[in-house]
Amino acid sequence: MARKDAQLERIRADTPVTRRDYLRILVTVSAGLAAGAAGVAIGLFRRHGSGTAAPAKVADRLEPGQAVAFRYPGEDDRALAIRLPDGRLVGWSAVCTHLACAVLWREEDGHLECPCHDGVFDPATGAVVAGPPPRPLPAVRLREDADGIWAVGTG
Amino acid sequence: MATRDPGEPQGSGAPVHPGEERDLDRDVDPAHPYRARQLAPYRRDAGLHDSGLTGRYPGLRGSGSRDPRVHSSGPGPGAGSDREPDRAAMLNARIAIVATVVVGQLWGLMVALNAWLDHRTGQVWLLLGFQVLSFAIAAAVWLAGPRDR
Repeated sequence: MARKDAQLERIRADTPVTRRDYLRILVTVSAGLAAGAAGVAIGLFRRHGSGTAAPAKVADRLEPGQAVAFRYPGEDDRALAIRLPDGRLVGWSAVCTHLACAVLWREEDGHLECPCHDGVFDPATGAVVAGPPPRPLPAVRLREDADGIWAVGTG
Repeated sequence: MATRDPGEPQGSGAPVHPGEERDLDRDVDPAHPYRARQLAPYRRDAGLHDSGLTGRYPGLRGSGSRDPRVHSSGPGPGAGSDREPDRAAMLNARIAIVATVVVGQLWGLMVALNAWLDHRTGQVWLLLGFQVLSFAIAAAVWLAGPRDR
């Protein structure tokens, strides 16, 4: 009996994955990919620089060329408000779209830079000027009134 | 002529050694002959008993040794080749189709993720439709062969 068991055990160990098994595995992977796409579509995965939150004050005032860092809409969403030299006020997510490093304002160069992989963004539009980032920076909407500068939304 | 050790229990068989004279019925248990026959094809020297090849050429093993589908030696059905080549071809074709669908789905998921990160929500829903359709095709191809699932 023990010999027969050992023989059966050896047969089981030698049995390769069959083509039917491959087909079954492939169909299961296909179902998993469809489920993953559904997760993306319903927003299961978090995306930096998007979402809603109550307006948050970021500064009392900014002089041309100055910038202030803040977090909006969430605690993990680093952002920058910049007063451009021409007087316009702009707000961008400060999370690089490449690998999520912090984006810095380089006043002397007049651009936004990600020091991790030398990604460069246009501070006026958020567009990628140089480097590996695949997408522009998400925008943070700002409002300026007598009380100061407020972050009021994204996108 | 095959000989049996009088002290050996009937049906237990002896270890296979090169050059050893073998008893062709050593795996047959008279009380449960069918059990022995079930195991016989799985033996390392399966298929070689009839021809006496192991006696003449001890180092030689039949093609498909340990392959449970192989149950006889020489040419013909069951001797290491597919007995239903058309069915095997259908299975191969179904695997190829589903593998192609899965590759397409991987590409679609990459595009969907890029679109979602780029705030192109409409495109993401379109790509979800593509994914669901792809899975439906894969499942249909799988279900099409009830004997090969």
